[in-house]
Amino acid sequence: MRPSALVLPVLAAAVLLHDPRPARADEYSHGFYAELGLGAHTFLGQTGQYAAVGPSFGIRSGYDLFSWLSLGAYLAGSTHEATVPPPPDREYFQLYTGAAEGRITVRVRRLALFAEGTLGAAAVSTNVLDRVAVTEPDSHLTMVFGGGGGLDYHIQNRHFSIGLACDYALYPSFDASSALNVRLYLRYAK
Amino acid sequence: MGTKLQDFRLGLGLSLAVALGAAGCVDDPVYFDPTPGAIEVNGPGGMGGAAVSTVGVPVAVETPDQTNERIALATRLGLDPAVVPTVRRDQLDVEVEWTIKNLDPMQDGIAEIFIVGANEFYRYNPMAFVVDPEEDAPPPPLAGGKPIEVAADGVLSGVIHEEEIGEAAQDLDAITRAGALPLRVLLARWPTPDVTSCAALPTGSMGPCAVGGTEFPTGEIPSEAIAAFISIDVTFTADTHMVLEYVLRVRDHSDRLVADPANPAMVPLVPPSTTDYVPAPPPP
Repeated sequence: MRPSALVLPVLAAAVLLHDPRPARADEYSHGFYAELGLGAHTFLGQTGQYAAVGPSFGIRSGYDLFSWLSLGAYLAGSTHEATVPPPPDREYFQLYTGAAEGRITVRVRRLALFAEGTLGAAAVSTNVLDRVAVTEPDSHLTMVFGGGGGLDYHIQNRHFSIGLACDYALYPSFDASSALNVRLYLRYAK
Repeated sequence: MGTKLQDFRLGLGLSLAVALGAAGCVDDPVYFDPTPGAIEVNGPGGMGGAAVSTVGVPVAVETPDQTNERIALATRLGLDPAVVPTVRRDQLDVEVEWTIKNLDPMQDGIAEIFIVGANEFYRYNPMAFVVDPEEDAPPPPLAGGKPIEVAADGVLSGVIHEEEIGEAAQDLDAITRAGALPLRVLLARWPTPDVTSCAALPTGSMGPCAVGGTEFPTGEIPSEAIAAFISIDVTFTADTHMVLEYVLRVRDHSDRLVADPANPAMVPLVPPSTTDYVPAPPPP
């Protein structure tokens, strides 16, 4: 990639995020919010032997009922190499998740700690995990429960914050598999 | 503020589009296991040096709308709807993923994987081409057949790719419905996705072509009218004690693939032909 190709996105981000006013906790926006996250998703335990760590992508949206409580929903996807005994070899599958979530936040100046819980559904894109009995031939959909937390840092612009989060998820119908997701995110609050 | 809101809306829209695009990755592969699941040759107990297993591609029969689409396709191609298959090659991408284990701890071995199969019209059986077993050798398989060297106590994985299986389907249709000679089409690659007539080839050319058959007297089958495999037979041979495991990887572009082999909903499936294609006897 040419260095000049990075200039426009960086400039755009700088213009969008820059706000010369000093930051104060009571000035941070809350209300409707949206969040874009990128990270990694890894299955734990036995399922971790059959699915490699994969990149994940998610979007979240919802409403801050109070400065300390939010309710929302998210869509997320991750891609994993299926490391099942071959054949097949070097095949990939996707995990899609849609869930409702609640978040409790404790903010001190720019920094906030939060805890979140989720409830929703997840699906795998192929039947490649059938052969190791993680999924079953007639079911590639499961409920998903999860919880986690993270650190949120408000930048000078009152609408935006960035953060690091780690979530645990349990997939009861996928042989009770569990997973960890770690993500970096950018959050906008209107 | 308004500009930022517009930016935000744009960003959210883009995010949603990316997320939905990722979630909507169409034609995710489905993997089908053969019966039996593993083929072992040259094992103890008098096991032979060749074994066969079969795997089907379960495709639901057409709905009335899909029948109408096929009739419209036939009209567009100028064909009788009866010769346009209900399961077409363009609707399925099939590949065979295999792993061979050489169970002999001392001796390297040579293995071969032969692929034949059936569409909804005909089954390809090379032995059906043999008129005189003393004189005639059967034609090659539709795909595979290359020697694979496996080290002693070694494991090797590979793929017979979608393009090769697609070409094999083209060969099967050319042989069975357009009168192509097996050796002429099985040992060469078609220059186009269509089955083409020998009459269209330059004089002296030995490229693949078809002279014309019962269903396609001109020897031409448009790509869109080529039948897909809905059953695949894999024959495994080796000169040492080996095991072949394989799966069929199918990407369905028609939303008719029945992904659960147990077919719990009892969806009616398009049956593969059980009729071995037998070429017309040579003129006396």
